[in-house]
Amino acid sequence: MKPKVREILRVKHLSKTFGRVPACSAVSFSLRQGEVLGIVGESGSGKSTLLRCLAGRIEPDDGNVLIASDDHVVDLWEMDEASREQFLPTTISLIHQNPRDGLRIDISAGGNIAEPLMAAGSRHYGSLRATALEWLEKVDIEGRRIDDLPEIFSGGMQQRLQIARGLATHPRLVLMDEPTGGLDVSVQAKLLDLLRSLVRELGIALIVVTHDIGVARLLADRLMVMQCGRVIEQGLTDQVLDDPHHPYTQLLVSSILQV
Amino acid sequence: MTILISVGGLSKTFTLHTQGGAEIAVFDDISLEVRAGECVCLHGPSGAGKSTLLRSLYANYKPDAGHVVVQHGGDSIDLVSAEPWEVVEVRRRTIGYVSQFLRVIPRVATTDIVTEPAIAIGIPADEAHAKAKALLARLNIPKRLWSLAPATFSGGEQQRVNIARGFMVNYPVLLLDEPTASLDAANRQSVVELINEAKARGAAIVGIFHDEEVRDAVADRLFKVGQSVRKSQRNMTAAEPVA
Amino acid sequence: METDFTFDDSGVYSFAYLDEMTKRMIRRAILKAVAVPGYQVPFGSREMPLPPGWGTGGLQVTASILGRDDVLKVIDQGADDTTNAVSIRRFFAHVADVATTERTGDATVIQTRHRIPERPLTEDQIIVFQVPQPEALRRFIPHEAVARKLHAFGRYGIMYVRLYEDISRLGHVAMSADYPVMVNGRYLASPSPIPKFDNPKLHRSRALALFGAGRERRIHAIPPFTDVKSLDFADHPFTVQHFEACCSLCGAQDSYLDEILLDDRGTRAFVCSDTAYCAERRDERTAS
Repeated sequence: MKPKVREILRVKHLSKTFGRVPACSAVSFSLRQGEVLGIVGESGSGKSTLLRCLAGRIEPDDGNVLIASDDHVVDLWEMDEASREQFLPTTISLIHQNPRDGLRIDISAGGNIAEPLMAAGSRHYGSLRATALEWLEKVDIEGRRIDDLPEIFSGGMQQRLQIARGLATHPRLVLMDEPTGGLDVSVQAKLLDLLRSLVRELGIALIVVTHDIGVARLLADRLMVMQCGRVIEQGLTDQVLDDPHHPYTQLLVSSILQV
Repeated sequence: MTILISVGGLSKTFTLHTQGGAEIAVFDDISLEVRAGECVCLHGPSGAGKSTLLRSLYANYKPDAGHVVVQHGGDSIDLVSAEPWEVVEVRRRTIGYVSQFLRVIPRVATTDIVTEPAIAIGIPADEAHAKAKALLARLNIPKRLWSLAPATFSGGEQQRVNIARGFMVNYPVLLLDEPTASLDAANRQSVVELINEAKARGAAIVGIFHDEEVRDAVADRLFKVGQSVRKSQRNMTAAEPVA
Repeated sequence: METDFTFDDSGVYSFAYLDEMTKRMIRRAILKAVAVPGYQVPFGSREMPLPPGWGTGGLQVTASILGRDDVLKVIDQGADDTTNAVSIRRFFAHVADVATTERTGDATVIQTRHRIPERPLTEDQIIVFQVPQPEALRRFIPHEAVARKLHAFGRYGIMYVRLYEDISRLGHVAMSADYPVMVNGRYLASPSPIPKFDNPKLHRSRALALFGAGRERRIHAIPPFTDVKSLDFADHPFTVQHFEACCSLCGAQDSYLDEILLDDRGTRAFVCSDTAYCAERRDERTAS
């Protein structure tokens, strides 16, 4: 009856300072399989830095990023670079706000999905092709577009393609930086629905950084509010948004435009 | 009968930092037990804290003190101290909540909105769709609207979609916040039937029903919420039965 | 005044043009390259008396390994008698006073541009390739630092993207020359712009293969008997060019052919690209 929910990520006292400006101060939290964590806060609150420390892009000054591997736990920043580079692509996927940062704009849609699979060792064209088609369908892009360059796709399609590319290797942990950032409101909704169903279907753990409270409410099970590099409040998404305790969170929630 | 919800010493005060740190005490030291197959109606004047209590039972609001223990798949889980992921699990399988407002992703079809809670706990899609269609039909949502997103529906239609969604899974515990608020007589009757069916299968139900007719039809007892009754409420688990 | 610019043949140059310290530096790079098959070793490329792109890398490698007893063969696109081949052969005959040959079997050192001779090489021979771009990843990864990391981590997924794109668009891999190879199962390497027809000759070759890139200042090597695998997919295996015709001069069916136009009316013929191979076959035929 009770499904075993596995802890996938544990962050301990993560800190990162740029010059004298602290971007993250002693951030700690953990994440379980199938859980969606939203990180909200204004620009400069340290949420993107935190995401990059988790993605293996920026080395934190202090603290640990512990990730559950098959039967043991690894510390992302204790590993040597070669092991980390080996470990990251099949474990963690980072989806950028701008799809052009996460896609190869000059290779076909199918090639974009196939690349991380080939990097992970797949050497069978037929199966790569089949996987690419399967993922295009999952993210609602017509199969006949498989050989088109993403350059000629709309922004929403590019973002969906980036998601397909990011998820095709079945990472345990997916990190998204403002996934709906540059999109029309109408396209955002569809993307959010897609993300929700994919998270559910694949049982991945997802961290979404956003400054859009609406996105956080629809997507996240749990919310972390950051201000000046600190986590000032965290808990269930609706609890944080409907019953905020910290003054800043109350300000944030009361600032949402009601339409 | 088994006690499915057990509330004790529950207190809630809001501190409004954006308004000069004003403190609003809503309720203090509330105790309540709800058994399987029982429907308790939260009763009291507007602003007495009925919705706040109901939301606290769903862990939507975080009480300052006390416990809300729910029977979840053989375990007793205190929603006040539970980890967020535990609460998510409890909500997914044990507690259903129907509010007055439909809050969903725009542009998602009505049938998908209604089936989502069932699919989330692994009910096969075709089974879920069959049930969703039956619910939508019972709640008199015109068939031509099923494939549309509910954003453009009337208030009553949106509320009925929300009710269908809430009754999609046979939750052991149901929390209903004025489910019949803006419904006509026929639809009210459908909702009353749904509630009574849930009771019959052993659900513990806590609700706010302003409509006297509905209240009489579903509630087994009233539980008074409000400043005036707060002191006398202390240590009382069983409230007065409905006449 | 003009006399200032005339060369004096008596001892102006070190043996094989380069000074001894430079040759020692290049030999060190070569040793390292042999020790780590496929790995690009940086070296201090010198100014040579011909422009970059004309084989300065191959020239420096040849100069560094050449001994007085060596017999040198130089080919350009398979031919011994093209300008570049003739110039380089004369250059070494001049500065190193080594014997030269056009016969593949007689040579101990073969400097080549864009071909491997048809006659299988032996363990007594060294083949030196002129390499314009030693970095096989360069087409996709403009940053040297990034490319080096990919080599270090052995992450070559991006190379397969090229293969994937070609197959999806054209049904086959369209790279017909400079077809990337995995050397010793570890490093991705460029075989220099040889036709992919020649790639299988690198696999477990008896001869040492040295690759010199003068402008890019890199040397890499494939030691004898090293596994060299051309990139491919399990369901789209690597294949070489296949010619319908045979050589119109020697009748060879197993050699790489050049197409030549004979007149202005479009009459054409196919001949061996490896001129020495073709000549030897014709000699054998007239002899028998």
